[in-house]
Amino acid sequence: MNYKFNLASEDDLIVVTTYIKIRGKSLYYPLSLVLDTGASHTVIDLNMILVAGYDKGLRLDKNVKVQTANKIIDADKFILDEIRVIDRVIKDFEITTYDFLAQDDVLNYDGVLGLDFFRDTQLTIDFKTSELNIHL
Amino acid sequence: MQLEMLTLHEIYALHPNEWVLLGDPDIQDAEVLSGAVLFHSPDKRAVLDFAQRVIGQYGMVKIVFAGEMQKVSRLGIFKVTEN
Repeated sequence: MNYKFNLASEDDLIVVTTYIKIRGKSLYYPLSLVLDTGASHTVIDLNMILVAGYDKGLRLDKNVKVQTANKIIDADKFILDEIRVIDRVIKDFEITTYDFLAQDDVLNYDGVLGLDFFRDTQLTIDFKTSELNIHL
Repeated sequence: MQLEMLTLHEIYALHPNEWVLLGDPDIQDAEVLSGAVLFHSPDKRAVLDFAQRVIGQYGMVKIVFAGEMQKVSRLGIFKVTEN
């Protein structure tokens, strides 16, 4: 299944609709994540994780550093029950998270979809047709 | 109390350039079509704080910005903001 992206309307970025399972419910919460093949890990705004129903207390007992555009900041790890992009579904997916707003990252996107999500898949980005495909 | 469902167009008109918290929004393909306005403010932190207080009362809440965000381009780890 292909995913159509639109560079022109998304700040020249590939923005991917990503669904995370809402904790304790059978609903999926949609997030707008920027596909970043230069990012080793998936990073999501802590505020969106909390709004999706996850509890701060579920943060893993790990503290990590994240290099953002102009600084290195402290971040946390979370395990999402389930994350889905197109047909690619991963259960118990570990993400890195920090409070974007506290770092003055006021964006229209909820985070970055990094390479860790695409391990063991074949990812193709067709700029001619504006299509993204994940071959499982 | 039954909250009024508003379309995204109506929300943009009522609360321009504000962050808006919607309860039980109608979402299709990640695009918000409508929702009940629970809270709105130009201060995103205030909206986030309110969202975390009321989330248990709704199946889902969603935050939207009722306006155009500043265009941001990213080159790798570098961020360039256009004024």
